Amino acid sequence: MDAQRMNELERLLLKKLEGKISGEELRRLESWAAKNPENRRLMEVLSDQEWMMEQMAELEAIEIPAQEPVVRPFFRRWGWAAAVICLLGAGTAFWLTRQPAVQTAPVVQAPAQPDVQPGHEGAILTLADGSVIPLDSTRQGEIARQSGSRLTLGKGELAYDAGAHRKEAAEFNTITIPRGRQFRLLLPDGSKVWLNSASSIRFPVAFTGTVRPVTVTGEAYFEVAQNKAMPFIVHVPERSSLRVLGTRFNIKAYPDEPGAVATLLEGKLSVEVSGKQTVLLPGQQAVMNGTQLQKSNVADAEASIAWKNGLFNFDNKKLDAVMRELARWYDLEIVYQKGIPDIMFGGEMGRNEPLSNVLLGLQDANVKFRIDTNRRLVVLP
Amino acid sequence: MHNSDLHNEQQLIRLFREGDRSAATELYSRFYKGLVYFARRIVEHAGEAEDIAQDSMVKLFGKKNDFSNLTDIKSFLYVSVRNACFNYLKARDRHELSHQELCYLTPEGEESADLEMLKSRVLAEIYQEVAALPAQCGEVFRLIFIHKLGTAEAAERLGISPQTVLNQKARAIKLLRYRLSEKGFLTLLLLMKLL
Repeated sequence: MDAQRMNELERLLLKKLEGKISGEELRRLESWAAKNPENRRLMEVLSDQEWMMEQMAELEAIEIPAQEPVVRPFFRRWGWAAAVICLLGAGTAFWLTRQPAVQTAPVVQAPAQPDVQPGHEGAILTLADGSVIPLDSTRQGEIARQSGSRLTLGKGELAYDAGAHRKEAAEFNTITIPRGRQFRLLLPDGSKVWLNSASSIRFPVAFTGTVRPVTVTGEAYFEVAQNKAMPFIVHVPERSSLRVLGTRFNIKAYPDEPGAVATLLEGKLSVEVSGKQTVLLPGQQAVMNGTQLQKSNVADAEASIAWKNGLFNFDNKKLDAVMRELARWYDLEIVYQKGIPDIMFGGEMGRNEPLSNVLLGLQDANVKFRIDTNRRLVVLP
Repeated sequence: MHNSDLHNEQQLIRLFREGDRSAATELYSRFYKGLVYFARRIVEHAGEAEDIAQDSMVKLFGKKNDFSNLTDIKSFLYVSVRNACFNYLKARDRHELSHQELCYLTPEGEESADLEMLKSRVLAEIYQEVAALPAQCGEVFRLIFIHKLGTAEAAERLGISPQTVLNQKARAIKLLRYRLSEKGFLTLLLLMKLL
């Protein structure tokens, strides 16, 4: 059986299970089944619930091997030198870069103090009564209950389950992500939120009213579960409010960035700033600056959520913008000794690299700098 | 949120080509179980089946510029598992093989292996949806529907109240419906019928 035939039969069988198969498609499946009793047996066994559950149990029991990844950074030209992660699984090296390291290593003094490690998962949860729970890897499972909702901490994420929530107005919780951390949140309606460093989100522990209101600072990527009867509204303090008509978008609203930026990847997004309003379609971006609201098309909307996928995207970014990203993730203080050098960046870099590798990249991009103690990076002219 | 982070296929392919670790993890979670399940249908030796599945993943990572979509990746993985299984059977002493295993070495063997492959691929797709449920919700679903525990037993096992189990069960079904209809390729009507 060739690959195309296999793909087609898989699709048809799944459609049949779904009950969405068309008459024409069913005829095609039937003629396949008629060819051979084995074919028919396969088609029939898939609708046997008992058998299906046994197979699910078997799949469930298969353990995915722990891929204890060994990170071995090396460099290649990629806009600027970017570190590529090397993955070793079960003792076998199988993750290779497209090109071997061709660059002769620039001379960099190994930092005298221990290397600064990249950020990782973690956050601080503030409950409705003001009590504070650190969300780190040391504890997992149910960590609290808030007016009927159950809070379950997993690896790098917190899930809210409203359960059988009564109709009264729900209390609000806040999750704060310090510098050098990131975190994920699963809201009680099934919506997902990825939170970047130096960010926060305030949200009700159950959505009981006529809208689903949340308040965000910093950077967050949303995948909103659709519920037309209860619109999802994102407030960005002192910037704007976004009325979400659809699903996937990123909002970047750091106080030290020139403006707040909302980028839509999928669905529809209505953006409102001091009375002005615009509706974004996928691939469009709204920049909010003071009372200004500007809409534009972006070439690569996915670039705005590179951070969520473990990457920095520095395409067409100026030095100061790049430095702000690095400062938040590596918890650095950036000082410009004499103005901001006019250097443009391109390309992407993994967020999993120790600072020393990032510094090599900076050097490769002709940035002159020195590192002081206390994570102070001084950019020299 | 698990591995659904990478639902966007293009994004996943891009990360895969760039050698991103999260892409490797995602590909493992999408395909590994189905590959082991398939290998076990041909080679009746669990450890061997796992090694074969693992090897095919390793082969994939050595060819990362050859693929531009997940369907091709899936085809490649399953075909390479099938070939490895046949090689394993051929290399063994015939006396050590079971009747079923010997059948695969007959001229009709290839066709039966194709059917097993098709079956494994369909089952793995369905399983993916169950696995994508959020933590506790997924636990409840697995205990009740897959492991066939009663509400009270599941509640005891998870240390939660029976009412919560019922709520989670309802939520699991709602989420599955939502996800599957959103993806537009499968609603687990057969699972719904169990209610």
